Amino acid sequence: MMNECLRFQEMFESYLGDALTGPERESLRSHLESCAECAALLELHEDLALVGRAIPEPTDTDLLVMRRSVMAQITRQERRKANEVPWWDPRGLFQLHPAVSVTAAAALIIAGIFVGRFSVGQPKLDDGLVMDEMYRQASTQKGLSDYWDTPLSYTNVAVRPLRGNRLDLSFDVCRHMNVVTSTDSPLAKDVLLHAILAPSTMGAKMKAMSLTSEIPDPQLQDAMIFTLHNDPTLAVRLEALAIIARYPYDNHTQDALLTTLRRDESVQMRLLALEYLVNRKVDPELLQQTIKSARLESDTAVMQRAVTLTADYQ
Amino acid sequence: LTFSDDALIEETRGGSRLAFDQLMQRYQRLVFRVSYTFARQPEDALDITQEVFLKAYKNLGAYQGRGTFKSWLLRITHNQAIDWLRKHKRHRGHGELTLDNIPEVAATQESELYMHEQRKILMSEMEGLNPKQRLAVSLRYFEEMPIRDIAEVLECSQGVVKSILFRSVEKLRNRVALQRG
Repeated sequence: MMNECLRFQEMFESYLGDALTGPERESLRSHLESCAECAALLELHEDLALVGRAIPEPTDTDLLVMRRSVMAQITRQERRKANEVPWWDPRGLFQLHPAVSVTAAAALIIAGIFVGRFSVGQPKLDDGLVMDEMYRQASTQKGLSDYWDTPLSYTNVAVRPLRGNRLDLSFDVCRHMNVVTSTDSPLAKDVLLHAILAPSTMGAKMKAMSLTSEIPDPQLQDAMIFTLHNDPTLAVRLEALAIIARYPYDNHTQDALLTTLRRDESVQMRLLALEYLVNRKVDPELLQQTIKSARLESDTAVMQRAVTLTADYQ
Repeated sequence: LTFSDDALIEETRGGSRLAFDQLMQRYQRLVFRVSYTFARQPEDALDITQEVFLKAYKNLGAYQGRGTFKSWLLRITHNQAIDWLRKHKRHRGHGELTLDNIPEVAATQESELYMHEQRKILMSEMEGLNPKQRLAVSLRYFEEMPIRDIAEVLECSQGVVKSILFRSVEKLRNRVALQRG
């Protein structure tokens, strides 16, 4: 190869990048007219650009599944790092069908139907933040066709055909969101409230419960007390009891502990509630009356413990 | 409203998964395409892409913002692709990386058929390039990245990038000539 050819070939990059000066471009063009080898090489450069266009494009669904998988792995790694409990962790969930993961994720935000069922009032929702986020996320989903790619997902779906090509659709509509907000924002309270009261995963529920000791909000505390008295899972009630015992002590807290002492079927729960009440120097008379009124099998054991514990301060 | 990469990185560091999802959405196709240049199968390219983002998230603390996030991500892609090649070399010989991976075109005219064959041959011969050359060719010709940006990815001067590209194309030319006999 001639040195001259080499010199021109080194200019190809700049030529294709439109970075040659006028005279340089002219001299290259005139060389290409007289040198078939260099012209062929330049053509190869141009062919390479066509190869790039032939690379298959992944579908939006492929990419969505890939991103979900990344998020699920990040979550798992972080949980492992934090050494958090994973026996209730639905770790396989995000690797299942994407529709399943959408539904699971959507459980975090559920229309306020659950709160209404209990005697805890619903705080005002941070509408602006939620709607902005919804529209923003929905706009990124444009052009996706598969059903799990729609910005919304539907649960509790019931369909009833009507006459005249019409359908009666009944459903709850959910949308998965991820926002960063301050601990005292109405949205934070609302989502925590739902996580505690709605049938979310136990992991989400426990996490939300643990945060209530840092957010002194009466509605969250009411939700905790509701959970303490009504959750069917002992592990959840134990956790709720431990958290409530850390709340500032007042009549409300005392009533919650006394109710547990009187009503909870688990002797472990009753003994713990008793211990917390004794630590607060509650009147032994009141404690004994509460235990007697329970009429549970564990009354004798709990009463003996109450006598032992209160002996010191009587 | 479009957030800058730096703003999204900051949000991600603050714990926002949504911000990281935005970053992934922004670069997923680029990372996929570069990965495809190495893996030559869409499924494998997706696997590499996934690993790239996992590594990026894990090492986001190490990203100092001296170069662009895109360059940093492409360096991770390059390293991940090299790892992938190393792991799969034993199991997949050159023979298995067939020319059939490039989608067929409805070639009605002779010139189109010729171009299609040309692309197939070129893509196949990319395997003869070393990983750095392959990355440079992919970024320059497939992604049409400016030389100075490629220099940032490869952490070298623009002159070196030009030289890498020059040698790569030269090598490709020889290999294509051999293919055609």
